[in-house]
Amino acid sequence: MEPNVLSFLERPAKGVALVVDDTKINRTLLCRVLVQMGYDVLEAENGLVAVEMFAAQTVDIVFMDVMMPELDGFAATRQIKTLAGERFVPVLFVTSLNEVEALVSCIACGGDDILFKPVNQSVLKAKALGFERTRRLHNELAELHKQMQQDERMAQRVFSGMIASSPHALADINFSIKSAAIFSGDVVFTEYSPNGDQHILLGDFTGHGLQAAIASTPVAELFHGLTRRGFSAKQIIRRINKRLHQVLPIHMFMACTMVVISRNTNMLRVFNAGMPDAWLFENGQVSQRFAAESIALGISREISIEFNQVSVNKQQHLLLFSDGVVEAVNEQEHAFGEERLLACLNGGEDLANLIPAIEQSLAQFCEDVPQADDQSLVHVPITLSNNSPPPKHSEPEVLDLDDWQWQMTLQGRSLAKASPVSLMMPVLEELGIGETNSGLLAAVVSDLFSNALEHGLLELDSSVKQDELGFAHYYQLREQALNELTKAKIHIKLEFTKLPEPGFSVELSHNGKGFEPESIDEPGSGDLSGRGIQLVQALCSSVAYFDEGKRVVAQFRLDDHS
Amino acid sequence: MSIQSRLNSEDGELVITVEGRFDYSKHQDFRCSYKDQAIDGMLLVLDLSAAEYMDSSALGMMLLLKEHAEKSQARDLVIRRPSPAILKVLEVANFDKLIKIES
Repeated sequence: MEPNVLSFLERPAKGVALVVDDTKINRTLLCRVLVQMGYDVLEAENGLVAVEMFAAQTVDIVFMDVMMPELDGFAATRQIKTLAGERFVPVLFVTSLNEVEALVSCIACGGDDILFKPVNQSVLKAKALGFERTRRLHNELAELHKQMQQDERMAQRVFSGMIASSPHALADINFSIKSAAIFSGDVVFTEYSPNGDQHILLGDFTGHGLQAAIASTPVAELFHGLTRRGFSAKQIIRRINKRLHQVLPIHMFMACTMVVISRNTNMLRVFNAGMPDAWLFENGQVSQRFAAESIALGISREISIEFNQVSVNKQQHLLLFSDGVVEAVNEQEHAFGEERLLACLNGGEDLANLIPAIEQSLAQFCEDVPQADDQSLVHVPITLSNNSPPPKHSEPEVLDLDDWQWQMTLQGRSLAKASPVSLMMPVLEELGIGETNSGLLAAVVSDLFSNALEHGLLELDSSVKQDELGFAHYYQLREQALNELTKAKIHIKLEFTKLPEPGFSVELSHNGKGFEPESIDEPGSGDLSGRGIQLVQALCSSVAYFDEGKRVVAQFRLDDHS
Repeated sequence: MSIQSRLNSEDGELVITVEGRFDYSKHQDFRCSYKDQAIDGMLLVLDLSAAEYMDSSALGMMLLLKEHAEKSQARDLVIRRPSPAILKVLEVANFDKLIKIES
């Protein structure tokens, strides 16, 4: 034999070997070899004794005779394998049988290999050592699997606590998520906004299981936090998209449907990004479908977010579902499909049990065929009520920020192209300035900008804006004049300081002609112009002009408005 | 479109919805949303629930709408569900005394 083969056979074996044979001499011969290899050995003279020994102590490998009194090798092996459970204990049959059927039976009853009598020592050693290797691998795998399941269960507990929606919002919808794994890649969140709107989000991450679920934590945080703080649904979607774009690997994304129900005004707004149609239905008939108009979130940094708005009545219901529902398959690989889902609407009868009815229909259709994707359903009865006051969230604006500054300069035709307010809003949002303060700052910046542009640079006369035609004419003049600009510049600086009080200093300067702020008259109640400066003064704690009106600095305090 | 108008003849309402910014950039769309509608006897509703902010040029546009409503003998004009920021602007300009505001 080659040296490396020899050295393989000389490796010491470890563990306990159980030798089962009714002939003492056979046992003795085999045991001698095994002891020499390094095993501790146990001997049993029949199958029954072998099973008892196996149950009583740890055995790592079994050598089994076939024909024995009391209990033969096949039956003993079956029992031993059952007792071993998840642990891998190789059973090697040692036999002089040579009929095909008997040999197949050795493996069929759970045996792992066969050694023929008389036993060749080298073959015995090689097989035993080979199984040693398999046994180690098997046990490591089993250990890892157990560990993974423990981790998943643990994570699932922590996780479900983290992403929970508030109970009063959950009470107004019915939903179910059936996962293909411990973790679901589908999520349902709902929360009330301070203005009484209910926000509902059904999301479906690519894939399922842990990798899909992990990404839902930031979505849950943004959805609940921003809704409570009064951010609009559009702002929330924009933020979620941005965050997912940052954190998700390229191949992962989240399809979702975002719903806003304004029960005060009977309005429903829906934004569908890559989900199956959302159904608005009444009396068992789908009266409107909201199809996907956007790509899923997390794919592209900027997406266009347009909500579809319809007025609703309290007889109507909304159904959202993930593609796992309509794509659920039965044994013949046929899909559940929309037809069967439509049939569940049941002419509008017993809608309180709509979701259980759909689940039952799905179960009947799929029987026990394992499904590849998560199945989620959300049923929202519109049941508008003007009576219940919207829950108020009294969470203060979170301002754990240090000072920051944002500035930009627009020149020439870029003044016509860009609105500084549109550019500023995402910055405020990103830095956690709430909707109210953002909206007021927007008004301030918008008016200061209009003043600088229209009076400082374009030298337009507001008195044109006397009536409807004048108003339109004024903006026409503005358009024309803007197109002729090339050298004109407006510089905007927004400076946030935390101390002594959190607030903004808003500074605008331009390189045009100065104007006399004092010369702007107070408007009469019906005048169409002249409110800009007044409004800015009312919203800010101070407004000061410098350099003949070419530079204005306004102080805006956050606390004034929350 | 960021400005939509919807005629609800059953309730006798014309609802104008402004989404996003409500400033000078909207003046044309805003005017188009009501000028060709028959609104005599109707309630004119300016729904601002989806508007992010408004500035003083939007105040001017509201005055034009109010004037139009009076000329066309609309039943009334209401501003519906302004955000807190917009409500503040309306109050600062005393528009709450000029136009009914439903929150």
